[in-house]
Amino acid sequence: MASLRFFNEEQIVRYVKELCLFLILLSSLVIAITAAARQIPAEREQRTIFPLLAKPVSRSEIVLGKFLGCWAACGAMLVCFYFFFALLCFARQPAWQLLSFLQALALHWVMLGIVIAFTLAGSLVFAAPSSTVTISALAAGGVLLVGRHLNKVALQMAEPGQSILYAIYLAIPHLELFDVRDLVIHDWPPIAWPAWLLALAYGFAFISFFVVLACWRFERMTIAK
Amino acid sequence: MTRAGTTAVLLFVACFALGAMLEPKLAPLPIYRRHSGTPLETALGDGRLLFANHFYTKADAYFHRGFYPTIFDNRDAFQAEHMAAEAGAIEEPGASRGADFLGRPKDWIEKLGRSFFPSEHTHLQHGAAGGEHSAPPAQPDVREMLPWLRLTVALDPHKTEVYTVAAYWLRSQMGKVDEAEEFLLEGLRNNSNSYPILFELGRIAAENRQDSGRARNLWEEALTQWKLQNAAAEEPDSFRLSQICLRLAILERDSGNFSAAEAYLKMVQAVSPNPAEVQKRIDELRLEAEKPR
Repeated sequence: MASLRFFNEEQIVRYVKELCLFLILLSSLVIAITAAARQIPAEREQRTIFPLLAKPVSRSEIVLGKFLGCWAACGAMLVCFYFFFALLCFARQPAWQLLSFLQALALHWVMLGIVIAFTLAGSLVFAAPSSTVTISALAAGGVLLVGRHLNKVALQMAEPGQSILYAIYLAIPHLELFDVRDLVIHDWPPIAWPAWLLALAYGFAFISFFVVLACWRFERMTIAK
Repeated sequence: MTRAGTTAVLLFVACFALGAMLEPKLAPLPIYRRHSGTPLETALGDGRLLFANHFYTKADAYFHRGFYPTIFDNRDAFQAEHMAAEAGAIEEPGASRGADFLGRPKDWIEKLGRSFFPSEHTHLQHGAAGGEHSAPPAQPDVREMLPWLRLTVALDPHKTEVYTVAAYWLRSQMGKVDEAEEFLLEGLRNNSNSYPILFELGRIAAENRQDSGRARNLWEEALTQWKLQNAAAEEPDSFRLSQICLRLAILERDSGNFSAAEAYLKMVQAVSPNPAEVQKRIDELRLEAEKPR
């Protein structure tokens, strides 16, 4: 796609950016969800969970370690993806917004943190990794696609549907806050720092919530031999 | 070889023989004829028209630098593509300028969220204002719409508006007159009687090639095609008729054919929403005609 030429114009770049960022988002979500969903169930299936639990670590520390491992691996993967994306963009458009790009990378990483934490918590609730993957992927995709618009839909509904949907809108983690592809594609100026920091704080709050939920669930779980 | 293996091989041979026997008989049937089209036609069938519309809208979204309503937003101001209106390919809708479909944020999440997607109505930077005849500006951003327009006609070659829109931006804002003309000629090959494409080709002849003879021929042919296609129409395309006749009127006035110019202006007046303004132009033309030369 990047090698295509339209009307002998060599500097057309935004469609390439759009395609690359979409593929990065899609592949990062797939990798994050499939990796997180298998962490603890795989340990249980292979019975390696027992030597792990025999070590002087608490169950919460195991969950936290699993989360941090997954998140760090996804971070490394994102850095690789964005590095090659930056090279491609730079080759076609030497003047571009580096700061927007770095902001987007950080937000994307925090979004993956929420998804990983949610999936990890789900893997301790749902019966099999396949169901965890399906439910997490549907939830993440659903929030990314319509999360931003639920309030508008709610306001057009009658009570009690309106209040219920609005409550759902307020309660869900708004992953779309971390999806700033359009700003990067269309060379908008960097996001205002207070808004960016607020989004990070919002993301960390949800990460903490899901990780605590996962720890709480794992602490109370009976692991049969 | 086992019995199962032999059976599988025999079945495969039977399938192959049947296929080879039936294919020449079935190929000429209308239901299979679509396979002779382009790979896109074969793969997508009529579904490609949906994709074509999607990509055309995508080009308009690029024109707005990503600021575009979704199905959940108020789309009143975005019923017609602004890039087409600005290119003169369609009539500009009244409330499109500065339209903001977002309104006031309904809650803190929506307010915060507006920092993370394009939330200001803006158009791509397209160089110096009024620059149709001036030198093209350096590196205009409007080029970013072009891949989507190209893709649109690859999927639906009969969407004539796309040729005229792309040609306008190519020639007037990017200085790519040859590419614009080539694209319009491709459009004309796919839509041989398209008066919008003929009109746009006439503009290139008049404005970029300074060939008024060719421009006149093209616009007169455009007018003929307009009459043929709109004769029985319930709602004739008066916008395009005005454009063609106005250009022809200017051309005739510049050539000193004042009576022909007046006739064209009267055609404009008949369909204009503001006939008094056109009458003023006619009066000016008459005064000019009466002046001693």
